[in-house]
Formats: sequence, structure tokens, C-alpha cells
Amino acid sequence: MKGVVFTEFFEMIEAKHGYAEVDRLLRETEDVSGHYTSVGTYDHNELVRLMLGHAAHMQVQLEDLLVAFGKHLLAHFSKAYPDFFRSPNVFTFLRGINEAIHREVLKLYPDAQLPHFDIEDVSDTELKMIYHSDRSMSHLGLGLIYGVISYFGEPIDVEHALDNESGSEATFILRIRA
Amino acid sequence: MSDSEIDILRRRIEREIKARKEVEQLLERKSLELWEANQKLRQTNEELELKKSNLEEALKSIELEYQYMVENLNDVLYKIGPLGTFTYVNAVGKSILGYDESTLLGMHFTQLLDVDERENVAREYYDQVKKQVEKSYMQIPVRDSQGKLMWFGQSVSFRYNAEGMLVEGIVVARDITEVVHARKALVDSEEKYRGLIEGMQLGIMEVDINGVILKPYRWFCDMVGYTAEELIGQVADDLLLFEEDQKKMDEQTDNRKDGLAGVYEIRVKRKDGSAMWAAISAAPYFNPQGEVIGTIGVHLDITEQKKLMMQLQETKAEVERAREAERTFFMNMSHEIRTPMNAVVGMSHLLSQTQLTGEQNGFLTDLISSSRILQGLISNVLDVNKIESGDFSPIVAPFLVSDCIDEVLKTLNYIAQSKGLHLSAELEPISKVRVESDKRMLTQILFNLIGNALKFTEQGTVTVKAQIESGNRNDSLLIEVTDSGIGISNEAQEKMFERHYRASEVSKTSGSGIGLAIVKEFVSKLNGTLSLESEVGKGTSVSLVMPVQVLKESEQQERDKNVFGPKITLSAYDILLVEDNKVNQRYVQHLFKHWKASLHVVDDLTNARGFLKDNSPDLILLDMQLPDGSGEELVTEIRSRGEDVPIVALTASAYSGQREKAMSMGLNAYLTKPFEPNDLKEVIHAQLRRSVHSQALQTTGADDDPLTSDAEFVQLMRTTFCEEMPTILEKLSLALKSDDTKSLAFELHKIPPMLDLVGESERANQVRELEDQLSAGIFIRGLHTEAYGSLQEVLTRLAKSET
Repeated sequence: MKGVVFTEFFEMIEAKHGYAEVDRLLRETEDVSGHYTSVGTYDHNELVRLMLGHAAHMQVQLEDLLVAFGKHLLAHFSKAYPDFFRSPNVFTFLRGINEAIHREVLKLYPDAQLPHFDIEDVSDTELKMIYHSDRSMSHLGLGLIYGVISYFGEPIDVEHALDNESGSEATFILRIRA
Repeated sequence: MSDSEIDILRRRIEREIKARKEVEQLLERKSLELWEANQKLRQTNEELELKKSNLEEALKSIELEYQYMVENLNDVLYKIGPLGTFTYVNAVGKSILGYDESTLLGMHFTQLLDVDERENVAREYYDQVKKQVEKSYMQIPVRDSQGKLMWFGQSVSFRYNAEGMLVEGIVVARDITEVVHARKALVDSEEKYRGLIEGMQLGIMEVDINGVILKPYRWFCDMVGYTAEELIGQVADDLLLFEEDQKKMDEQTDNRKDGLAGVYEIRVKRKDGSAMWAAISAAPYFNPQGEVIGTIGVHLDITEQKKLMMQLQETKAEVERAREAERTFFMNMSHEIRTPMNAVVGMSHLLSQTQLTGEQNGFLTDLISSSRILQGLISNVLDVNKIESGDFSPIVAPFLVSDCIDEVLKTLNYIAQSKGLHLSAELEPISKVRVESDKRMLTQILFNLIGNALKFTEQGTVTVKAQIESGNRNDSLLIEVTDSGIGISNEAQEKMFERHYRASEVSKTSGSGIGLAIVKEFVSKLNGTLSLESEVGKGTSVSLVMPVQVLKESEQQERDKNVFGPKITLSAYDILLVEDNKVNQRYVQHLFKHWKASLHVVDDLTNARGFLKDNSPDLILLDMQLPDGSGEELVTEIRSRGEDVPIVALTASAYSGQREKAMSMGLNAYLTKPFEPNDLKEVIHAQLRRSVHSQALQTTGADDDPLTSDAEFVQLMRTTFCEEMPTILEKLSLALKSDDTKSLAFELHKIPPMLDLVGESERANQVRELEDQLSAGIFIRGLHTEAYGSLQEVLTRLAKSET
């Protein structure tokens, strides 16, 4: 897992709950390195343990935490990499996610493990995206989608459904409100 | 700040420091990676630089090559910018156009165009650019710096940018001025010839290899009455030919397929069905592979000429028929005249045997002379016809020139006397000169030449001179006849040897006018020449020169001493005589006895065949008219066996046609009876010389046994005559009584040689005339009875003198 995810996770917690919570998480969560840089690469499970620890401590659902983190991450991305956000609207941006964004990411981080989306234009106002990833973190994806919608400021509803128990596959349906 | 807060901060700082160190390590690692990558990149870059410089080098040399090519191209090469101005012109272009580079670059291409075409050409190119045409070719008129007009054939490649705007035009142009001029000259010349041909009234037509009309020219259409549209696509032969001429045309067509040109005449069927005679000159034409692909025919209307020619041919045929009729008439008439003439001569001779007064004798002499002249004229007519029918050629035999001239003079002396002219001959140079030639022809030539001289001379002399000119190879006989007559004008000299031409101013003279034509013919047959010198009013001199074979002087000298004394030994040879006439047998036997040669004599063909079965004589003397057949049969038999023994014919017949026929069968020589001893000796001598046994021929002379005298020989002949004649007379009498003209002719034929040998030449001639009459189908009993009587009289006289 890329270091930026960890650092941004801690940025989000610090912003919401102060650095004490970050310090607590790092001290109390087992088997974590305890110090991260955005350019480093760390075990994915460390993040999962940190997230579970934080959610338990805060008494929130992990899924809700993931959605919130997705929104935060998207906001960070939009500021850090504005070039990727030149598309005219949400659908155009999302359609290019496999080719335009993930391809560029892989150039910089050849070892990054990225989810794959099957994208289908159902109609002019409806886009269907099917998530595939062993990480089973489609809720992070949902948060990211919300972040995109919010970034472009369009009136779009999102339906999200897991397609299997493990959550390695999930379907998003985006509809532009009339 | 509480202790816990301080702890948190401390821990945070520791974490930040650890993170920073981690980042530093990461950076260091990444830096190393970067450096390594950079090293690799630099290396790659260096390699690329090297490659690039190599490529640049290569490019530069290619560019140089191109530049060299472009500059040295024979073609003009230039570039035009998007606005139509020159951006580049190669050296050829500059030199052809006559501008320097700085002037040209910046000029608009239309400035070089000929003013008349400037707008059209410019518009065409603008259109091409507008349609984004990539390549084009045009021929354009261009003016160089001196204003001289040139034609460029130029290919343009247009280059456009992504927006479709013209970037540049690359132009390769070639100076085709000469080609354009040549083409124009060709067109002009074609025009000229077309005009010429149209004006010539020659009908020209082109057909393909199958005879299908491709192109009929205007005059041809006019000739045949069809329009061009009606003709094109038609098979020429089917439309324009009469069926019966197809075969003739096919021959021509075959020639054409073989690539042969030809000129021929044929009828062309006009549209209205009428026929036009055309002279057609037809020539094949070829494709570039050299194969015949059609024919061009030039037709000339010759209908009028053809009509004229046909009329001419008809006229000519009529003339031919008339001439043939004329000839037949002459032939028949001459025969008709000759027969009574023979009677006149015969009767005159009979008359001369009777008792006449002096005055009567004079008349008779005139009568005989006149009839001889008449006979000569008739001979002329017959000779002309023989010449025309082509059955006349010289018969060469030895004779004395002086004899020949004497005979002519004797005949013509009567005319000279009657006109009071002095006719003389200077024969001393040729006295006793014996030559080989055709005596009859020479006689006829002289008869006419001297006769003419007498005819056109009113007073003075006619002189005949003769001499032999010895040349390197041949001897020539030269005879000159000079008169003091009226002379001949130059114009007349040119025409005088034509038939029937006569000196018009001498209208009072008569004559057939064929004499000189015969002379000319005979002289040429004898390979001689005639020359003429004449002055009007003073006289004429005609010279005859003809090649002759003069017999050896030694022989002549011998002959001068003794006619029977040739220095020849024939004893080495076996000679056969086939002769039924007893007098002739005796005669030849006597000669052979004298020559000490052996002679075997047989009477007829049967005995001759028998003799030849067991013997091979060296020479055969053969009478051609034998009791059991013709001598020709024997000649044919001998020659068909491949034997080349010399055969000499002895015959009374002088008709040359028969002679030639016999000679062609294989006879070697001819002797006409009566022959003189030397004639026979010379012929035998000549023939033996030619034959394979010639080396045995010897002339000695020492063992010759000359006859004591001519008288002895004459006596011998007389005895023979007296022995033989009664039998013949008996047979004659029988034949006369029974009107058996065939037997009569057969017996009469034997008599003249016998009479000649006993010196009765006049009577011999008399009998020959009777013979001639019989052969012409004329039988006048009275003459035969008279002849019979006179023969008996001769016999009685000779028998009396015998005892």
C-alpha cells in the first residue's frame, strides 16, 4: 500500500480528532511500523488494522470510515494532481479512470495494486461501474466517487451494491438527477 | 503543556525523524537508481548521437548526389512557392531561360509564359491546386529572357500541408520545342500531301488484312460512285469486284500478305454496275512489329486508255492478218509464176536447139536473159517469205568467189547491154580463191547490189571489185560495187534497206523494192557489214565486208596444178558410199581410185545396214534419196547407236529447210550434186580431221598417181553415162506412157548429175526444171516428151563418140 494513503489517513484523523488519536492508534495497534512517509510502501494489512482500531475506538462502522476516507483522499488528489481533473464532467472523468488515471499511477508506482472498473454507459444520464479488487474496499471507492461528484458539483445519485460476500466485486450505478 | 502532550509531541518528532530518515534512505536509493539510469541514458544518448551523425553524413552525401543530379539534369527542374514564385531553379533551367538566379528567384511563373497562353495556363494550374491535384503534365509555351518562344513539357508535383494549403510545386520540365515544331511540320506536310493527293485525281483506299475498307479517300468515292459511309466496313472485293476477276485479285492479295507491293490492272464495279478499268498500285502497310496489317491501294482510272489499247490490239491483229494474207499470196503467186517461168526457160532452151536465123538467135538470147532476171526476182520474193517465216540460215560450203560473181554478171549483162552501160569486174585479186560460205546467199546479195547499180545508172559504168583481207583470226571477203548513177541522198540512205522502199525520184524505174531488204538480211546472216558512199548525181559505191574461211594456199596451189592432185593419202581410211546412181558411183569410185583410197559402195539402205553390221567405216557418203527409203533413216539409226562416224550427205535437193532438218538429225556435212572432185576431197578432209582418227591423216603427195588428163575422166564419165542412161530412159518412157508422175520424178532426179558430169549442164538444168514442175504438181507432157527426145539425142551422140 502506498505511503500516501497512510499519511492521508493520519491527516484526516488529526484534522478530525487531533494528533493524540493518531498517537494512540500508532501506539495501540499491533504490528505496524509506526512511522510512514508518503513516498514509501507499506503492508496493506497495517492500514486495515489501523482503520479497524480507529473505527472501534470511535465506535463507527468501518464502511462509513472508508467512505469518509475516500472523500478525503479525493479532495487531496484533486489538489495534488489537478491535471487529472481537466475532464468536463463526472462521467467523462470516471470513464477515463482505468486508462487516464490508473495507467499514470502505475508509471510512477509500478508495484501499486489498483482496483479495476468495468464501465458501461447505460444511457446519457446513467453510468454503471463494476468494481474488482482483492482488497475488497469498494466503500473506499464509493467515497472517492462521492468526492468526484462533489468536485464537479453535479446532481448525481449513486447506488452501491456488493456483488459477493467477500466484497471483491461491487456495482456502482450513477444517475444524473433530472 | 502537559507531560502527555509533551510525550505525544516527542513521539511525533521521533516518528517524523524516522520517517525523514526513511525518506532520506529512499531518496539515496532512488538517487543511485537515477544515477544509474542516467548513466544508461547517457550511453544510449551517445549511441544515438553517433547514429544520428552517421545518418546526417549519409543524408548529406545523398543530398549532394541529388543536388548534382538536379544541377546536371538535362531537364529543367524548379520549385514554386505557394504564391507561384520561383524558389529554386537548376542550372539547366537558368541556362535555357537565360536568367540569372537572383532574377529568377522572386519571379512569378506566369511571367515566363507566352502572353497569349498566360491566362489559360495560370488558370489551369490554379484549378489543379484548388482541387489539390498531386501531379500533372502540361505542354506550355514559354519565352526566355530574349523573348524566344520555347515549348516546355512539364510535370508538376504539388505538396500540400495538413490544412490542404499548397506548400510548394516541384516541376520537371523538358524543352520540347523541336518536338512540337516537328509535329507541326508533320501535320503541315500531311495537309500538303493530302491536298496534293486529292488534287491528283488518284483514288486512294485503305483496307485491313481481311480486305475490309477502312478509309476511302474522296476521289476514290467519286470514281466508284459510293459515299465514304457506304464503303467503310464493306469487304472491298465483294463490293467492287466482278466475280470473274476474283482469281486475279486473289493473286495480288497473296502477294500483299507476303509484303510485296504491286501494280496491276483490273476492272472495278461502280455503284451503278458499270465497269471502270483501274490501274492499281497496291502496297502493304505494317504494324511496328513488321506484320502486314493492311493494304493501301492507289487507283487510276484507265478506262479510256484501255479502250484505246483494245482498239489498237484489234487493229494490230487485223494488220497481222493482212500481212499473213499478203505473205501467203506472195508465196503462192511466186510458185504460180515460177512454174510457167520454168516452162519459158525450158522452151527457150529447146528453141535454141533448133535451126534459127541470126535475128531469131538474138531474140532468143534476150528472151533467155530476161527470163533469168525474172527468175531472180521470183527467188527474191520466195527468200523474203522464207526469212519472215524464220526458216532460213546459211549453208556453208566451199566455192570459188569468182564463179559466184561471174554467174551474176552473166545474168545481169543483158541489162547492162540494153542500157548501154559498161559492166565490168576486177576479179584478179580473188582469182581461184576458194572460200567457205553460203554461195547462194552471196549470189543473191550480189544480184541485188549489182542489179540496183544498173537500175539507177543511166550512163557510164558499173564496176565490181573483189579482194580478200587477211586478218589475225579471220579472213574477210570485200566486194565493192561502184556505179556512176544518180546517187542517194542522206535521208534516203537511212531508209533504203527497208522493205519496199525505193528512190522516189526514180519513178520510172520499176522493181519490187524488196531487193535491198533481202541484202540486209543475208548480210547479217553471214555476219557481214554493208557500207555506202554516195553523192547525188555522181554515183554510189556499196561495200560488202563479210568474214569467210579462205582455204589454204598450198591446197590451192596444188589445185591450180591439177584439180585431181591433192596431196592427200586417204589409204588409211575406210569410206562407205551409199548411192544408187551408177554414174555417181562411178564418179566417186574413180576419184577414190585416184586418191588411192578404199571405197566400199552399196546401192541402198538395206545393203548399207548389212555392211555397217560387220564394218566400222571412218566416213560415210550418203545419198539422201534411195530406192528403199530416205538417207535420214540411216543417219538416225547410226546416231541412236551413239556412233559418231562422220556422215556427209550427197543430194540434189537444195532446199535449205530439208538440209537443216537433216543436219539437226546428226549429219556432219552436205554436198550438193553435181560436186567437183575438190569439193568432195575438202569435205572428206575436213570431216576426217574432226574425227577421232585424225592423227592417221597424212598428206604425202609422193605416191599420188594423178590422172593422165581431164579427158580420161570425161571419157570415163561418158562411158558410164552410156551404160546407165538406156535403163533410165526406158523407165522414163514407161512412166510417161502410164502417166506415173511419181516414178517419173524419181527417174528424172537421177539424170541432172549425170548430164553435169558429161558437160551437158544446159540439159541438166532443163531436167531440174521438169523436176521442180513435178514437185509443184505440174505435168506438161509436151515438155517431158521433148526432154525425153533430147536425152535420147545426147545418149546417141555420146554413144557415137564412144565408138
